[in-house]
Amino acid sequence: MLINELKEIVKIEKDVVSFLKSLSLNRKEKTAFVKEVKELRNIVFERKDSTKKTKWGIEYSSNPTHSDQQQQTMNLVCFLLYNKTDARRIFSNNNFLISKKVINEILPWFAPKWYSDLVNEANPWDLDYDLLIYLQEQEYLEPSKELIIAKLPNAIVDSTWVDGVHKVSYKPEVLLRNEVTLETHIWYLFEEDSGINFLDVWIKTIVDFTSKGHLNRKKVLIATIYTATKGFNQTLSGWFFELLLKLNPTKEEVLMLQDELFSALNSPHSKVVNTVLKYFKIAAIAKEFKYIIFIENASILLSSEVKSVVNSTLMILDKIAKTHKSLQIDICKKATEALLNTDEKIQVRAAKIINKYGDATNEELAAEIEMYTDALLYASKEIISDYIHTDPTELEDDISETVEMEVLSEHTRLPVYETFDDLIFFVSQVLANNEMYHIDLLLMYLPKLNLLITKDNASRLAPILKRAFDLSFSHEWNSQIGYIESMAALYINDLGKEIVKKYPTELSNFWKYRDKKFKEDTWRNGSKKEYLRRFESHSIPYYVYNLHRFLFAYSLGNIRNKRTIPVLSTPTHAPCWIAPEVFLDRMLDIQKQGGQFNLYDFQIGLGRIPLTEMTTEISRKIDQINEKEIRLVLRYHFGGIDFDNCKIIESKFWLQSILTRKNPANITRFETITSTNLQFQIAMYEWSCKPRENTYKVYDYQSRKDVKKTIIEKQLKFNNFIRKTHTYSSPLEKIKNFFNKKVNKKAFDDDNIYKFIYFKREQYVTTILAHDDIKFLYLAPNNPGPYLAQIIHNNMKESKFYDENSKKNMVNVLKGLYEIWYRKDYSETTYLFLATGFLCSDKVAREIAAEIWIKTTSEHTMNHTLLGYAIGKLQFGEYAPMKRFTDIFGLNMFNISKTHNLHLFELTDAIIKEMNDTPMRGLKKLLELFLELKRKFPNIDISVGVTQKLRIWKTSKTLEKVIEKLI
Amino acid sequence: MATNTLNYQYNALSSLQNTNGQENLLLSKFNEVHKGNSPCFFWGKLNNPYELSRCLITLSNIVQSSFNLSPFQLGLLKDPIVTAGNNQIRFEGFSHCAGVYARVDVLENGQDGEFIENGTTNVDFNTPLISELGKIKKNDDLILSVGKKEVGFHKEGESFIERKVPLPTKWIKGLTTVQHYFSESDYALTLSRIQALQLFKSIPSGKVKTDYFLIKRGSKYMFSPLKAKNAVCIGGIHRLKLVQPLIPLINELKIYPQKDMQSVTFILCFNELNLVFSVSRDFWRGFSGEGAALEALIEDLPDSLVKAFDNYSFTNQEFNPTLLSFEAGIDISKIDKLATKLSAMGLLGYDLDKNGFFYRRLPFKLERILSLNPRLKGAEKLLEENKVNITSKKDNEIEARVEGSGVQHYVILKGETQKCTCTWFSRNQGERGVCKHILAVKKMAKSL
Repeated sequence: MLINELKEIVKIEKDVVSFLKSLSLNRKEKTAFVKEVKELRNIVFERKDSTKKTKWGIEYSSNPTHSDQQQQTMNLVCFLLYNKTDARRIFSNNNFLISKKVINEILPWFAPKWYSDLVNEANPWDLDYDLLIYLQEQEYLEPSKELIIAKLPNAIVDSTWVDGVHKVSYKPEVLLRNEVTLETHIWYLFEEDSGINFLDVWIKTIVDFTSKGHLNRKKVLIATIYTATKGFNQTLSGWFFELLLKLNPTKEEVLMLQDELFSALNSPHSKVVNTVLKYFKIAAIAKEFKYIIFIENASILLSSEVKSVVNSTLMILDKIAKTHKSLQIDICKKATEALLNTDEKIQVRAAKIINKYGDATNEELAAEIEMYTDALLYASKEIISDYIHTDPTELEDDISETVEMEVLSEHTRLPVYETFDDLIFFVSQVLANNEMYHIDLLLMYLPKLNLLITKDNASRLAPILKRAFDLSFSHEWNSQIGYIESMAALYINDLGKEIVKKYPTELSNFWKYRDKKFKEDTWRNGSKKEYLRRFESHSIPYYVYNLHRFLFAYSLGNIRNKRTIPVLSTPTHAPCWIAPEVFLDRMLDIQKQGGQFNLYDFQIGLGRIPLTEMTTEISRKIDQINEKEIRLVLRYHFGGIDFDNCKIIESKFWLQSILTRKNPANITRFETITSTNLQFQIAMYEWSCKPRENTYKVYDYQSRKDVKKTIIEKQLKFNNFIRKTHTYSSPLEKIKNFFNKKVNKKAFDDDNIYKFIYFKREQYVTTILAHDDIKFLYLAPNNPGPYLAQIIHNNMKESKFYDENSKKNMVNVLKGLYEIWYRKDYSETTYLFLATGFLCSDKVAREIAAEIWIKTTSEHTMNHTLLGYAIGKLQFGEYAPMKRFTDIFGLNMFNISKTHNLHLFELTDAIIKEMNDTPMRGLKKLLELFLELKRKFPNIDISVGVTQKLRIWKTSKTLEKVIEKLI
Repeated sequence: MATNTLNYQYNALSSLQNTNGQENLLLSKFNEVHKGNSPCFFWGKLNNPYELSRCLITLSNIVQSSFNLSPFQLGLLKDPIVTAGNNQIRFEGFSHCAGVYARVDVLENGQDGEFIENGTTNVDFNTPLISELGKIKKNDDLILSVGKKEVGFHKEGESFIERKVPLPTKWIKGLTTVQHYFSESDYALTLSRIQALQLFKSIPSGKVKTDYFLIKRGSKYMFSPLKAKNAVCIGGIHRLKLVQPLIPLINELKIYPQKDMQSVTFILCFNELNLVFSVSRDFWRGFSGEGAALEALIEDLPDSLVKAFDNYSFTNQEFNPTLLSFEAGIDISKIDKLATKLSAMGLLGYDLDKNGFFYRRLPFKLERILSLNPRLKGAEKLLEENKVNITSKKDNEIEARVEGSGVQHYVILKGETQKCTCTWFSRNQGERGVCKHILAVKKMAKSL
């Protein structure tokens, strides 16, 4: 029996080759033997799991049951007997196929048919190019293109470890060992991505081999240029064009390879295009240069976003125009396309070409230029003024004239749900976070739905309950929702528990599903316990979520007591506004039902009413409110009473109205009466941006320990920032206070929603999920300052972001701010936040900041001086590169309308006024844009402060010219 | 992901060769479904070689691109499809992720040649060919041959080039779904070349996750990250960069948003040549996952009708339901939703410019295409397993319970309104087609 013989060989670890050589099997015998071999192999490769107790706990390990030698023996047997499918299964993830034993002792007398295919497929790690060539020479292997590409790049370096030191040696001679390398293999590297760019030494090698004549220079040049159109990534394309630069083609070669170079212009990578243009600049005046084709291609080049590409193209067009007079008008027409560029230098260069070679009487050319007049900057317009016969289109000004801010419009009115069906389909989508205000509406509508549930319709709730249940216990990440949705799921779960008790038969399916899930989750054994806990006893990830928790709990109270006391803070208009009449109706409804409103609900609700002046309707409703002080608060809130005539007993009722009306005298009086400081609630902080020394612990690799390192960082900081206002009194303190009667009853006693608007940096970047952040902002849309101050303090000390999450939060909050911004008198902190939006490192955030400016300028709700002050003061401390602001300025904010331009002038003036006497980098562009605006409004004077600043800056050579034009 | 293997078998590599000062573009063809015998569909001159070659390079970039797949999947190139007939040639293709669709339409006057046979076929797009296309100049004479005209150059039936690629069903499904989206898209505006250049300059750099909106600021159009009333919405705006190099060459740019903003289509108009470019709602959401055409698919159409349609139609022919019903002797009422069903089966394409469907049969086996809609299959399974229970049916109102996993879903159909309590519907509110529960109820209601 062969198998027994083999078992013995394996057992005593005897060499198997002679046994293999002696095998002579017919097909049937082979099939039977292979079956036995497979079984034996399984045994030999079996592993044994073991556990060991250590002081750290139980350690699991898995060990082979047979020696390496025994396993090797089995592999050799399999190599000889297995078909391709079986062999692929065991040899594709290791180096066995190219092991010395196989190559030296088996392949000389037996090579399986599949050998070459499997080596190509497996791409063994240990197979190097030398060995690949050897196998090819011996005709064991027909290497595929992919295998050659994988192995050739490393062929010219030898990487070894000698005494623990990594040594790399260069051995280009390996390429000369076999003709096939330079005749065929090396050219594959120009065809596909081989990672050749990770070895810089290849550039030297190819250049050397070309100069020594081992490689045909023309062929190398063509192959290199053609890499531009192979779809390579930026780095690889850049690497090949670095090679081209090192090969340094002569002018004659460039002319000879024009077709190839023209096709390289289709590359999406600027390094490629720039390199081609560099050579074309040299060749452009030669007779053989295919200038017609260049002019044809110029349109694509002139619309490039890369300035150097546009500049080089214009330079070449200039050269062609100089030598080919008959084409001058065509070239001028082409050059007009660069007039769309917002860079002044480029526009001027194009304008100069037109001025130099054009003919102002040529109607076609004039018509072409006419199309670009709206985009022309002053300097270029002056150069080609002969061609411009009409004024640029007057900017429409109707935007600013007609747009009036309407917070409570029909367009933003939220739907009202009444029927069971309406409510059930609304509730079923809340957990998907389809709209930001859905959670707010849920607080109002779930108690309403609760009262409509009957035996007949209870089963319809099962999918909602299941979804809430699944969300509470699923471990899957869902980027579409925030933690507040998870809280909503817990809140719905509590309703579920109530109605399942009441309608067990109708909801039996859900009940069974729930039990099944609990059983599946036994290893954790926590789900059931968690589920059974009441909403109120679940923890929240951080303090700032408290307000939502209170609201959910308040609404749950309604559900448990089977009532529908209105939730005052439920919005009536998107995204978070409440119509004053509806708010008052809800107050009256609560009064009618004999209920008490919840203080936080009242404060949030009142803060969500857009600033409204008293009307007869509002006054009538206020009159019906029983509680005298609330009546007074509401009268004051709608401007119907002078605050000086109001008697304050419960300060907590007044707070939101004081903060909404933002009357400085009223605020001072309130603070005096209540012996409180509202600095935190108004977010009124002094701030500065300057270089600051910060010390960090960093790991030092040489000394192998943490060391302290001081780094100077330009940081924005609030000088007198209040982290939080609230500290909980211990029960003992509370009792003491009660008996000592120390508490000033009139004092503002911290019972206000703002005490929850607090978080730490690490919580902002990790715990607060995107989507939740906007919901926090919407808690106080009339007074977003305290929340934004927290973001500035935690996230915007520097203009770059700590991680993707904080970037996303910034974009979200700016989007939220865009939605709610409706008044000019937001606090300085709010304007500072917007200013950081303009300067932060995320372009989307900057664009949204610009959109806020555009919208609020149209609606006359922007304080341009205050925004300019904030941006200028930030830039005094070089908070961010100026380019971030000037790019947005030029592309998004300039030339929107006459009014926008006027206010942009005002904004820029305010920015410059605050900036440092030492001009920062990138300032020239800002001044150029300021000059464009000044030229649009020659009658408006630059402010005195700015004129003084410009005089100081004039000493800078780069700024001198533009400042001369300004003053 | 369900994956089939498509085995492209070409007789020769596509190539561009210069003979006697004339550029000859041979597009080697392959079709799983053989209809007709000619090895060549079209042979003739193309009148706008420079722009066409740039459009084809862009199309090649699109079929090679992917916005949500891994580099491994990216490496497997799917070949574009060419449809020739009725004096028009169309080249169409999809990105790997099935979120970007492009079609190059050579209009009637854009070619001067012979349509030897009508049909649709895969064509080989290889890297050297794309390299060569970059060399085409404005005044070159470009001869296109879809399939080799001279038989005998190679042995008939023998394949020289064979390329196996896993063909994700989503790719074909996307090709069919996008046509339906076109039919639901309305013309919004036309931009001049200069306006289009300004617009494309406002595309933010990098991969953008936020939605962008097309707005007009002052005299120029631009993309803004903030939602504006009635503004065209574009998700995954970075995908538009694929066509950015073509913008300097266009005459004008037309924009067609889908009615629910689930896709946006741009038509880049050149002389006698259009490039239709469409992006799905989001870069991570291909057209394939959308259920736009599902409702039409629940219509049971007799095989004879589909067969009749296939027989009476020729490539690129405008789809005319009335004519079809007359010629095939079929009741017009049955043809009501035929167009949607046929486009979902890969038999119709949609021409936005002409505002109508045209016949073109995708070069894939019909069974591949028909087995693609999981939601439809899901609905049919629900019916088979008797999991649908219509509890009330009045004139215009149906209420039903449909068994889901663990719980029963509640479905209500009331006039135009249709709602379900399942997760899919709750999340998408019908914007991405209805859920399998609604589909099942509708199908059952039809049979009642």
